[in-house]
Amino acid sequence: MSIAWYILRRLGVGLLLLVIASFFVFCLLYISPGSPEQVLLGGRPSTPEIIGTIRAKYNLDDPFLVQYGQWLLDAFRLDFGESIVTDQPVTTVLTDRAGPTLALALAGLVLTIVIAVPAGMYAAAKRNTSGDRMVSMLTLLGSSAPTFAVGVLLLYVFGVSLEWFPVFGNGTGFTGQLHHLVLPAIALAVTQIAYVTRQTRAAALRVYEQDYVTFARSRGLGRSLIWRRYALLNSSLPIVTATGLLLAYTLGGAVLVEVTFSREGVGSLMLQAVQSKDIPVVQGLVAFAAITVTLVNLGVDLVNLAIDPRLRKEVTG
Amino acid sequence: MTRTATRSTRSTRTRLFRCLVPLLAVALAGACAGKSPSDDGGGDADGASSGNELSADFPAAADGDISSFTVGMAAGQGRYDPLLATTSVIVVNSYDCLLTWNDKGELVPGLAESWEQTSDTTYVYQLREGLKFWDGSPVTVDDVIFSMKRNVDPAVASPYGVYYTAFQDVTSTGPNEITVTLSRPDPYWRYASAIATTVIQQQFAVEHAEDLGTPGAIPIGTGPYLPSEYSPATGATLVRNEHYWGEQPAIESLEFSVVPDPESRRLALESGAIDATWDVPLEQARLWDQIPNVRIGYGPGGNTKIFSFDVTSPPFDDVHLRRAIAYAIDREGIANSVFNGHAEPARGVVPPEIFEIFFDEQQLADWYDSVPAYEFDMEKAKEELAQSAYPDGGLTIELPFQASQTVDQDILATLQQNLRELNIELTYQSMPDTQYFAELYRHENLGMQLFYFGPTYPDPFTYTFYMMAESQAVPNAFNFANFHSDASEELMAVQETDPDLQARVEAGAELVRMAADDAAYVGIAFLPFPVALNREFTIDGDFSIWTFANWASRIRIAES
Repeated sequence: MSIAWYILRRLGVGLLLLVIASFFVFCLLYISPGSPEQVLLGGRPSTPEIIGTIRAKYNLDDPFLVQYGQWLLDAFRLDFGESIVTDQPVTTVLTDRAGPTLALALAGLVLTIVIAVPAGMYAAAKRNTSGDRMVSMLTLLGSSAPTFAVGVLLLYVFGVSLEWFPVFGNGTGFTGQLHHLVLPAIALAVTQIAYVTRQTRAAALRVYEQDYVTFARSRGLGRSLIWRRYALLNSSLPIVTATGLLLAYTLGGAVLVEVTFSREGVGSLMLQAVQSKDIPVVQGLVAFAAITVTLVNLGVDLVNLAIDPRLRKEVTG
Repeated sequence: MTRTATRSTRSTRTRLFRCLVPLLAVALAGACAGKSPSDDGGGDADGASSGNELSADFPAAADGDISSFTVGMAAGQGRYDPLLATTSVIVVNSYDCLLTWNDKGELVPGLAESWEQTSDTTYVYQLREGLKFWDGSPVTVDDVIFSMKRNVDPAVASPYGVYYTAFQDVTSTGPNEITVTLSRPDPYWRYASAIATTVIQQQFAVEHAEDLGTPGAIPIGTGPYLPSEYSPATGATLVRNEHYWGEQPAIESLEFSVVPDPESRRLALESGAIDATWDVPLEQARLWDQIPNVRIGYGPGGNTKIFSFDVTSPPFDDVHLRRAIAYAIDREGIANSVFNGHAEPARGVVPPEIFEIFFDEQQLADWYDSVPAYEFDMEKAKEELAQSAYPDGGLTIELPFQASQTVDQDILATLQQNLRELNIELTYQSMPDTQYFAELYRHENLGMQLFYFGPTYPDPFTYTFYMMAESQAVPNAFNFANFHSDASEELMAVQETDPDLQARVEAGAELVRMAADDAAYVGIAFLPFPVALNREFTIDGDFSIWTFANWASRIRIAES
């Protein structure tokens, strides 16, 4: 079995996942009460004729399977329809919103890796010392701090009191966007750092107990060489997997961070679309999330293949 | 009408608000005690009633332009189209109606310089001379006719079509004159002229029929501002329209930013990143009142928080049970604790100021006194319960409430406590807005409901028709109490068709009294309409609930 066949198979599974997920979400939206015309009416008084006209305009009265079938057919032609609320093509809405989310996810990930991996390695190296306990305590704090609370705290301290950073929006221009990204990225990274630090520490400890590390030590190799060449490389599998999961999750929508910092990304879009039952947009987001998860997982597995020759052998036979 | 979310509470096109004197609160409290609301008026020289006054907290306006002014919004508006935007706080600045309101709620010229009702079913409008769209092209009669007909075009599916139920046709009857014919007499068509007659340029709209209202195809209008940048997601930047027919406003660049989270919005105000917002969460009033660089004006918004009881099915077909519950509502306590003193305890469902332009002081006071108040009194509640079919209580009432209406939970909690004394168990449950409305509009098992209602035009009919007409006691309509009788329908007929304005309004007043006496609808509080504004700025002139369409033109630099 070649790598190409492996990738193709994974993409096929991803496609299947997309169809299944979109069907379930469509079902959920269909059976949940409420309908988009109430959002369009904005609670204004109405007449049966007007409601009928609106429902006809958006094909809301078609039978369930017809609606879904139509969506699926169009989706295979990469036509995801138009938002009921804004009338924009869903693809346009998604491209507009994906940028800020992608930037946030990557910034959060960079922060996470830069801080969490060294911290986890350090804790493992110094296990059961006060340094290790300090790291453990901080990770406990980080993982239990609610994201929105951290966000509001950051906003208050660095946005309102110190006025170092803007308090809302995506910003314009590269530096503007970067400036707007700092606080949200930190808010997002706090929980992630805690999670990845723990993963790293655990993985490094496991590696540290392996015979080959003991053997390396007995050969008189330097501590730093052992850590870099043996511990870091061998513990990177679970770390890469964990960060991949985080990335996929964030790309699917860091709802709390985006809402707190008024970043108009995929997460806040999901919230708005579900609230207004904007079915084409929700379906588009599901497709986006399914594709993202598939691609990120594939990416993670490919990285793992590159790291671990044993896995490579398994795949290529 | 009820509204779907905090978003729409402050932003519907005919959004009612007044920034008023704290004195008005006193005045209204006085009204509840039997005085006319205008007795304690703000003391303005021209003798206008207090309701039309600026809050004393807002300083006088100074001359000078404002280079940029940013408004924080809780949600985007969807399409940039006067008929299809989901909130109107942006679009009111870009489009004008044939008529508009003055601060008292009287109709005054807009794009039409004069109008006349020539028969029961014909209205003639004379357009202003020399009107131009923001691209400099002249506004033609055809543009006006096209724009009005969009309201009844199925391809547009305009929610404003509700005002066009009696509309038959609009034609050009002179070089600058249009004539509207109705299929039946509709005394309320005149209000539609100030709500649902926004004019856009026909040629552009036809050329962009497919994507009109998206950022690349914003309909061309006549208002004081045109968009220079627009994103449904993040907001808009508007600049002055040099072809505007009225006076040029002070703000040069009018910016809108979407800041969905209320706490982030408050911090954005405090940091100066936004200058104003219409989206002030009432349950957080205590916190918002303390923002040092911001003034918050609370005016009665014409909105009423209401309990309805389905009078056609048990247990609420028992008037004594309904009255017992009405007596157990601590309106004073709710106004003070839940709304932090920024709401008025309600008597009936229509705020008395709605009647101000129709009634003189004495008539208003007499009417308001005649509406049963159900002052909080647990003894009277027990007496009423004793006369009901449930003398020992033993009832369980289940009630959903709208998730976005966070104040509802607090209102229900206080009532729950009081009802326990009557051995009535009240349980309530939060529901997402779309689900809440879907359930409510199904019009089944209505029981007891908690909702709020805001008028779309300054006339009691907008309340009584939707809540009390027999024709509205059906799915997708608002008569949640199924309140109607032969007597009420007679009054409704007067309201719907009588050519005499005074007779119509008096019938409305009597209906409100009747529904309160029957305890079918029990008003809880007349809600304030809040506006938060940076202290550098002020709101100029008489600023009333009816002048929301001109809000941006009234923002000025505050005199220091």
